[in-house]
Amino acid sequence: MKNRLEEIRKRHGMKQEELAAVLEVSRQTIGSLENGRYNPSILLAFKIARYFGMKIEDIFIYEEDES
Amino acid sequence: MKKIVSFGILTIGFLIFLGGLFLYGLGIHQLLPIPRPDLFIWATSIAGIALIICGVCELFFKKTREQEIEAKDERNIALGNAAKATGFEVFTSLFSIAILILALLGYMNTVSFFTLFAAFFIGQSAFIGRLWYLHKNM
Repeated sequence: MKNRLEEIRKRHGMKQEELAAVLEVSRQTIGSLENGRYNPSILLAFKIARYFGMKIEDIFIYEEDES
Repeated sequence: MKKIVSFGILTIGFLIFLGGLFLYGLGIHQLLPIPRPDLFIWATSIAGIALIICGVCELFFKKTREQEIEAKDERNIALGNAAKATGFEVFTSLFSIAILILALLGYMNTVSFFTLFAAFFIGQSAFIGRLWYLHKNM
């Protein structure tokens, strides 16, 4: 799933480590999320959206045909 | 809950270690129906010490915040579960093939064959039971 996490994180002037610490996940998870290799659980997606004060669909882009 | 389990492991470790020393001291180990009673003290001591170390580590060594985050990280858990699933599939295939080959080549007696078969059967039953439980409740 595509997402705008990296763009949003940089706009807030945060490093991956800082965002990981706030969300209580590992830095590798943030990295995998940003390059699309890992899709977050609904819980983590909500935590990310709430932290940035945005909606989930504004951060994570669901495309119908992902294959 | 985890502290109770860790305390239980520590207690069992002490019981095995001290119980083994006590039985060895009384000479009761010679009466046990095991092929090598002389190894009894080594087995109980090593098993007891291993369990004590496990219990102590869980109870008294606190993880750092980073270690706790790494342990609870959802991606790490997902990767670990996927790796365990692959390991389980490989192990199941190889184990059954190994038992069959050893039995056909005559390297196994009846006791060892059925013991290993029982272990395999219990493992598979645990897998099927857990899968049924998860399907029912999730």
